[in-house]
Amino acid sequence: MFLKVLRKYIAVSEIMILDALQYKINTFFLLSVILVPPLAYFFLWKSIYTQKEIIGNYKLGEIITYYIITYFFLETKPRAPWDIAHSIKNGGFSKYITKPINHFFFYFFSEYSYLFVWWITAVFGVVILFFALKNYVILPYGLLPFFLSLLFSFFGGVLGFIIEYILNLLAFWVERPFAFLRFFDLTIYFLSGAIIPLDLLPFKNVFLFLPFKYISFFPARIFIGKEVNINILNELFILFFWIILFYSISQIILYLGRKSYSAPGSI
Amino acid sequence: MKSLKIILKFLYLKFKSHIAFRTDTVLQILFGILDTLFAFLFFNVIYSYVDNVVGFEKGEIYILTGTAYLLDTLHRSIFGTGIFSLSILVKSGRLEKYLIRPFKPNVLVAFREPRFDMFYRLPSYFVLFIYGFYLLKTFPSFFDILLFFTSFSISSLIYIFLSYNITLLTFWIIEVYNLYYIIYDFYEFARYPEKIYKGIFRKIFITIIPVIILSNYPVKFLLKERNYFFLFYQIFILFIFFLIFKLMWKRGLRRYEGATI
Repeated sequence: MFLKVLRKYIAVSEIMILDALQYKINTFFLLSVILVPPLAYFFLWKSIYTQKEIIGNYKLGEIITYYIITYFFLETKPRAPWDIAHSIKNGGFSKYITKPINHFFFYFFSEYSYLFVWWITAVFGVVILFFALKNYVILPYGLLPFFLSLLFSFFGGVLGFIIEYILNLLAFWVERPFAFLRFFDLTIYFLSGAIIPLDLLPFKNVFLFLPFKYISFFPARIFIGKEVNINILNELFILFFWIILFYSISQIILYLGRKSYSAPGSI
Repeated sequence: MKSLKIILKFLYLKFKSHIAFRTDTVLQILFGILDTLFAFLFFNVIYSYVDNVVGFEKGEIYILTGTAYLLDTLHRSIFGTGIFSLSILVKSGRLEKYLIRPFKPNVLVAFREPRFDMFYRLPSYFVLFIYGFYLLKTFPSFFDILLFFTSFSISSLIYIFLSYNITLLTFWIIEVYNLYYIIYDFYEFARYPEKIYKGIFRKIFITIIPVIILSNYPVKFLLKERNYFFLFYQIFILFIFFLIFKLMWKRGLRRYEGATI
């Protein structure tokens, strides 16, 4: 039974991978989001570190690596596409009501599969950066932090996806949801630690309490060896708690949204 | 004069349809405030550890960041989406809709999709810019402000042609969406002082992809670095990019195949 259900999502995944492979050059151009911002940060922080050896509790190598890894995690995480909000507004959502398919899992599998090709390209980008800045970057001190970093970034990505999915569902009630989405995109970007490591900010305890840290800040900190003394199981438990909480909220919103959905433009 | 009238009329119509959505306005104002706040926090953290960054004091860095944000937002709100839409028009074969009109098609395309909602972000960025002067406790002379605006206008034009030239590759590469976004990624370099960049990157970002000069050169006039060389260099770069644009547009149109009747 489970395999039967899973089969249709695997079919969706296969189609999305083929779709992503269609325009390889386009995917290649996307590399700039992995390469350019960390490079700009590299130049900035390098000039700052000429005056001080340690900033906060970061050395130059750690902060450069932090930005490379943070951008990699942020840019390769699945995003709930704005297509969800679009389909609610233009009536395209109707096809998900009439088909034996779970709306959330359809988009979840689509996004993860579509990202597969991009993920491989992005790894290539990170390797280029590590090679180009080899005198400034640091590698994890072992395989364990490397895999833990990937593990947390994966589930952090799932959490990010669910939050964005919820924001898309606001289209059931909001006339133009895209300004909301843009606004929260920027907020999530900051709260994930993409602009500056969260532990360098004033009122850092507030930022570190929020779930957004798991999207990129926390996995990047594990990668650079800054989370040595943490209780992994405890952190995983907290992350799963947030995932389950937000997933439940998303399903409640979907349920309520379907009730208020008027299928505009549909037959 | 007639062209200007048409453009203004066109923009007026777009603006009328835009003001129907007031929630967007509120959210865009909040977006601007948040974006400014993040930039403020970022540099505040940095300057809590160091006194200056390559000689830039805190006030100076806010002026530079404010200028970079203002330039970028103005570009994106007026021309950004329009220029980007060229790739969609070419891919779908609908460009002739603009080619047959009695108006310069490249100008029409550039003004095609103004994003008025982004204008509401400008006041926050302007506050950051002014706050920089407040921290410096000095204010530039009228003549320096005039030079700043001249340099800023030339930077805007360079930015337009830079975006256009990248998008024009759409005539040769079918799927070019992500290539267009490269320019926004590269713009990240415009947010920081020119002096932090060294070696080959500095050369590239001053000549081939001159993003560094877009914000840094206008700001030089406000920070008592009045040197007319910067202005001449901007004009030279603008001229080169304009020539490339003319050439690519002409060649691109020859390759173009329409799909409408």
